[in-house]
Amino acid sequence: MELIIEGVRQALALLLALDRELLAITWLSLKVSCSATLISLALGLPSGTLLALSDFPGRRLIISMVNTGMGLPPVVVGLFVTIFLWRNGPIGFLEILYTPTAMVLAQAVIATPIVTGITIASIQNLPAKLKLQILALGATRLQMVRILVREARLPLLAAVMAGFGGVISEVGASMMVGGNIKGQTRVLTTATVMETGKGNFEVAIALSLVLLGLAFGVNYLLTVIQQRERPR
Amino acid sequence: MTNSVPLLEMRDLIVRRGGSEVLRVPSFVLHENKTVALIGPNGSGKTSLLLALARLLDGASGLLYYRGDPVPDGRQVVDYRRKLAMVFQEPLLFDQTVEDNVAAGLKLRGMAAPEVHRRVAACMERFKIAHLAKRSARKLSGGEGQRTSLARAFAAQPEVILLDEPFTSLDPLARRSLIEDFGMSLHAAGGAAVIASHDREEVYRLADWVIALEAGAVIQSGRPDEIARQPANPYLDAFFGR
Amino acid sequence: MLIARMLIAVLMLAMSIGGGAAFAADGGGKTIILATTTSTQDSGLLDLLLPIFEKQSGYQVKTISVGSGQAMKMGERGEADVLLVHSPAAEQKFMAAGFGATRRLVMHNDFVIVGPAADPARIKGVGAIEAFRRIASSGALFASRGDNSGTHAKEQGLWKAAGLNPEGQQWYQQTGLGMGQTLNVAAEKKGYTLTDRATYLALRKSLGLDILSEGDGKLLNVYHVLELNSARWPKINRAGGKAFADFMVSQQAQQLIGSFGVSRYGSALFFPDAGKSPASLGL
Repeated sequence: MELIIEGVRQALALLLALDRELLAITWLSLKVSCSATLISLALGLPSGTLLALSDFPGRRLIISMVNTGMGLPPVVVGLFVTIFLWRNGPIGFLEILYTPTAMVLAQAVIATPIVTGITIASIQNLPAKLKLQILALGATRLQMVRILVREARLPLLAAVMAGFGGVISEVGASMMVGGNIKGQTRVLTTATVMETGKGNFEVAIALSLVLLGLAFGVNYLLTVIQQRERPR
Repeated sequence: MTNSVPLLEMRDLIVRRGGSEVLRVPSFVLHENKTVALIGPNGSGKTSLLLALARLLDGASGLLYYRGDPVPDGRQVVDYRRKLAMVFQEPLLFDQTVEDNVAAGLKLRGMAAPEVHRRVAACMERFKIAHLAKRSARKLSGGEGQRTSLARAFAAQPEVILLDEPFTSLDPLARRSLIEDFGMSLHAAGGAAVIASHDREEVYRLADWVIALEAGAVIQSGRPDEIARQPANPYLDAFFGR
Repeated sequence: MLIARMLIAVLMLAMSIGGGAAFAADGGGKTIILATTTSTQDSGLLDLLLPIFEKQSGYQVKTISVGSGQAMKMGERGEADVLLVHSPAAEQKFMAAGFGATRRLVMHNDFVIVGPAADPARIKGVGAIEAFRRIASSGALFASRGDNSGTHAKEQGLWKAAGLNPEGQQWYQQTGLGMGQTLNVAAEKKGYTLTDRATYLALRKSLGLDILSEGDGKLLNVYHVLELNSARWPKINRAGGKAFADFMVSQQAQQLIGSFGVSRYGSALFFPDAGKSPASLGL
């Protein structure tokens, strides 16, 4: 028990001193996960909307694949992305293994099905006749899609939070494709695992607190925006 | 007839779903300033016919003419739809203020802001919801919601209004006053309307012509009093009530 | 929605700055992938040596610290440029199979067998192989790395020399984790484990385990730096690998290795051996 208390105490000391390495690790975590989330939004929101609204053979198959993808174990994603990015692998010529770019790629693979799946559910959750009403008011297909997305903005913000939450906290893929290299690809999660492995529990606790704070902070911000949009 | 070319004409409408035929209407005509009522039990095809008139129904085949010209498919159908407006049984309002909802159709047509404002104000007056302008659509009663939906439809000054049982889910008091206001607005705007209804009072108050459907087929059509005198089936008999 | 859009715009700006920096950092031919073991990483030795090497040579080193087994596998696949490992038997096989170009001795330290002060298996002061025998016969808990690392290979060699196979025994627990964590498991369960001295010294305070057997020649832990055979994998950074290997055996690096840890732990964690013959170390 004293270990935990001592650990927390030292953690706060490190945080208050604004330790340089800690700041660098935190900033990288934020950059990588935000980039990955933005990519997953750019891919997931349009695809999710398309899948929710259109009808074509194989649609149900694709949606069940998306739903399966939502539960993809990040470490499995990490393994396959690593294999692809190996020098002698199919896209090894990109030479991005062990760089933040590879981490963004892996995290985007993890987050995109999550965003897509929640988008599909959000759009499908709108009243069934709403699409007809919008078209009947004289909307073009594009206008209709824009209005439906706007109508579903609250659950879609939840999709953003889910996507971000999924990647800021994952360690398996980041470790594998990033390599936890000091000053280059070390993020909060991989650093926590490493420090724990070395037995530096105080540092590990400090990193955990920062990670929790970061996750909470971003989600708080998004929640404020979401709840602000809620009509009074 | 004053005008020989009908506002809307549909010929040989056949709707198929899952391989079988669910609606067949050989001929449907709507003239300017006239209101046609569609009556019949649930599932008889009233909603399908309305959607087909708006070109919003999948699996529908047939010829549709607007003022004698064929209505196109594809992207130009939007131009045709902008001459219509449709109101459903639920208000289906957007998650915005009443004001923004009423303006929706106008904004879709790219109208300038001052003109939008003017028309929206006029419509809200007419449907007695001006005092609710800034209220969120989520906070409206059933009657207020439907008034907003109607105001939204009228704001776009459509030539045809299609209504699918718009007053059914309202309480009797709300219903009566809204039918009044709707009738007056329709008359003032000089528009044509097709309204699906379950209510005799609505039909008597609003309709010039009645089309009765049963199981996807037209079984009778004529003026309300004609059908009331000689109803073709028990439903119509009960509808016009003796 | 406007606020959300503004936020996104700001973030995208930050990302593109970050992304640009990330790409700029990729040296291409100036990058070396060093596959090494967790003990060299965790001891902090590389944190001392690498910045000096990077500054002098202009190369950027990406250190991937995994077990020796995985490091060599990466070498076999051409996914690394140079290896720094401590698993001599496996390294010899590696060289024999033609995967490596050169193999040079860098340094050594030793392994120690640690356990609870109570020492239920009575191994204090005893030689390595005999200690393993006593642990097995007493059924005392033993935490193994179980991950094909250099430490794991050494441990397996000792079991073999003792004529024992602990696989599947209840007291033999394979963690699959790094040295620090395996030590924690041993400490938690009041069991024995084989560890390199450096990691043990770094964690001694929080562990509550004592060194019970040390000094046996069989417990020598030798590190080599291996350059890879570029004929097999043309994509590897041959010049970079050579530069790193040359650095590790250079007088400058050897001196740094020899003085590393003295001020902190009272004794050096590693002993420089570049240029010595293997025989002089008893190998």
